[in-house]
Amino acid sequence: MSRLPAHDMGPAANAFRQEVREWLAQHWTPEQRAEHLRKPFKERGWDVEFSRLMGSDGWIGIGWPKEFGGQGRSATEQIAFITEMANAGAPVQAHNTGESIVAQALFLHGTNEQQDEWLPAIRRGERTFALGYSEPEAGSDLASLRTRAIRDDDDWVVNGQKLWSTGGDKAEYMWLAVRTDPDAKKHAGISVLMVDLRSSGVTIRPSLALYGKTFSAQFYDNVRVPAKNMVGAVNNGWKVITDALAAERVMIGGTRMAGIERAFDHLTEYLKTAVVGGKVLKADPAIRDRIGALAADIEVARQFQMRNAQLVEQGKVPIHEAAMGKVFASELQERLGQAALDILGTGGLLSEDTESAPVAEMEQVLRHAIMGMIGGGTNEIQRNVIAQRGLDLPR
Amino acid sequence: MDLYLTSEQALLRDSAAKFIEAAGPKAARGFRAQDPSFSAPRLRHAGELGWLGILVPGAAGGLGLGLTELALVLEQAGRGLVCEPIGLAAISAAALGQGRTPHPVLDRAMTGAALIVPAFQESAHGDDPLAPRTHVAGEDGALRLTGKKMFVCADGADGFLVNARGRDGPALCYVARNAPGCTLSRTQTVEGRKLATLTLTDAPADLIPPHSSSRNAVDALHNLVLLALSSELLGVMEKANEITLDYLRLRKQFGKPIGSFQALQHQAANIYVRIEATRSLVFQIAANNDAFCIDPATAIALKAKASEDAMIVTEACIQLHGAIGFTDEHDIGLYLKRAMLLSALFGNAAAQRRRYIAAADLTA
Ligand SMILES: Cc1cc2nc3c(=O)[nH]c(=O)nc-3n(C[C@H](O)[C@H](O)[C@H](O)COP(=O)(O)OP(=O)(O)OC[C@H]3O[C@@H](n4cnc5c(N)ncnc54)[C@H](O)[C@@H]3O)c2cc1C
Repeated sequence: MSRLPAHDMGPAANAFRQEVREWLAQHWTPEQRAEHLRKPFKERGWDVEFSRLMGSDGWIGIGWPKEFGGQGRSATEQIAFITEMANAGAPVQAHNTGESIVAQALFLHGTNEQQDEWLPAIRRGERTFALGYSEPEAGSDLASLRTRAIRDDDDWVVNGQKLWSTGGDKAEYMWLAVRTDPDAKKHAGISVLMVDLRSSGVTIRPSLALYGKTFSAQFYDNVRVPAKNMVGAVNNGWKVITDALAAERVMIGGTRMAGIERAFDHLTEYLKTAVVGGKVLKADPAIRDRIGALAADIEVARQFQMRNAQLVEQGKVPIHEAAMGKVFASELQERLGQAALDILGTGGLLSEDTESAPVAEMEQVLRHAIMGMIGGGTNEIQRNVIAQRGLDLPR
Repeated sequence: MDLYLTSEQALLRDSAAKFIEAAGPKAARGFRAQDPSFSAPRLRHAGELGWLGILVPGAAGGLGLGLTELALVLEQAGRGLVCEPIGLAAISAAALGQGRTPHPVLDRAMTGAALIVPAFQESAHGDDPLAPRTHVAGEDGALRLTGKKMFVCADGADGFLVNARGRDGPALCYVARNAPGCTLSRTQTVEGRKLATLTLTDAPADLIPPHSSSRNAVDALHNLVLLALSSELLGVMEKANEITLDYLRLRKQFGKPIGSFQALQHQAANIYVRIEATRSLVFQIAANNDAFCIDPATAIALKAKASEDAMIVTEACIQLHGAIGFTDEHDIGLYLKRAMLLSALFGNAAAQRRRYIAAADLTA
């Protein structure tokens, strides 16, 4: 058994991939990778210096319209790009929330001044963001969020608490959803602020997630945010959030798929030499069936991604289609994690610091899969979307 | 499914439940970075309560009880994420006391003064315990062990029960931790528990004779291992499920308890069915087998089922919690990691299924 066949994304994206690879070969060398891997697991993936390097070579915002300094790349090319970066294990987390969610919202809802100030800084890798949506009482039911912002002169004064912000212990700015009208219907009284996390009154409490990386809780105590940092009109935040999310949804899958493909390759690498009870494991029909089923599912997940990218290219907004892609890919990752543990046996238990390379990380795949099944809207909520929006079943 | 317990069995279960109140996730979390990753005084406390000698006959100083009692105690240990290896210690004591003359280390094994654990695995894939590569040579009184055992729960252990190939088939041998030729190298697991590779080079050992009712001493102890780990896995699932049910009743979204959503009710029902399946297997096997002569195929089937269910159940419990279940601070993740550990030890579900085919002679 050897590696998965490359994902054919069509001539333009395939050629672009090659360009990305060449850049990576120069700027993300084996030495740099090795150095990155020497960091504790929870520190990996977020590297401001690397983000600036990418920014200076024009690799941030490749999908942005040219008028905003981007390359105007198609959705398919963006997926190709994300996949290549993830395959190489290049650290992109420091800039990718700003580059995707924040930038999308600024294109659609930002003032000219905001676009002129924030977009170039994001594109240079100089402004890092985390997402401040979830609260203790507002998870799946995001619209019930209560963090309050009250206008006072030229500022909004923010009070409240946010949870689970990925990278929220490292970012400079929070993309913060706040309630600006407590009397309106719940979706109608929300606004979005870009909050400097170094402001006085912000307390950040990092915590470790089960997959070995951190997220943060933040407490806002009379934090003053300049009114010019509100994106979109007052009380129009729900529209800002959903527009930004729609564009984002397709892209999330790219990183996930790369993780899946890498883990799959690790597994087949292990199988090349594995012998159990005197028998070559890869010859075992049950193992072959399992590997074959996973490979087939990976092909399917790739096609889900391509279809969503094409919808975006046709100017459509994939809703239930994006939900299907997410449910399928995250649960595929879980199946892959389970298969890896089954196949690796007790050795699959060993944590990242073991000597045998293919084995390391494998159980982490499983723990990571649970993130995909909860984060970004749980799979239960996605299934509600598929049933209600996709199949038009009654609510 | 209610079990019909005698009043003694109920008492035993309740005293075990009391013991675990003092354990639980908080203690388990604290032990992750410690060496050994359990409390030696609490192991001795388990000894005082008689659990380490639960299967040892009264004449040899044990409680002389059966598999149901063992399963009841270990189910509680699983619920409480107890870090003291009570199960492995208790079945090792049973083996040490099974011959006409008990092994001299038995008394200390029963009080918890010494920790003895089985060391059977030679690969990551749940090997046939009756065909080990480790071999034993020499005459009784001057036996020597040579070989390598993997994934041994050697944390804090003073000695090991090793299965080895002898002149007359598989033999069970005792080797002391500090015996010449016995070395350990440790590895870290995701759960925090350290496992070790045990290398034996001409290490002096004692033969452990079989119980009069068993087919073979290695077979008997191995089946006990599978039952013990499965009983603990059962407790892990039960407690994870209870924590989750509480949360489903408490947590509100969209103005309703999330437990009122049918999508979650169905998942909760699936979890319940899995737990009850493992539960009935554990207690059926416990009720219908002699402690030293458990049917190997059913023991293997049990470990396969418990290992698979515990992983699926604890993952689903996290999913039902949402993000809060995904934090390291929340207890539910500890149940997943404990399930990962116990499922993998002595062969995971896949390994057990493979062995079942051989043990039950399905392809003959
Ligand atoms: C690793 C990770 C990273 C994250 N990063 C961020 C971040 O950067 N920024 C941020 O703001 N948030 C982040 N989140 C939070 C994420 O958006 C929420 O976890 C998610 O929206 C679910 O909310 P909750 O955790 O409160 O679960 P709850 O909404 O309380 O859900 C609990 C359970 O109930 C189910 N449920 C809820 N409502 C329904 C329904 N109507 N029908 C059926 N089932 C239902 C859920 O599916 C789940 O199983 C992250 C989460 C994780 C796990």
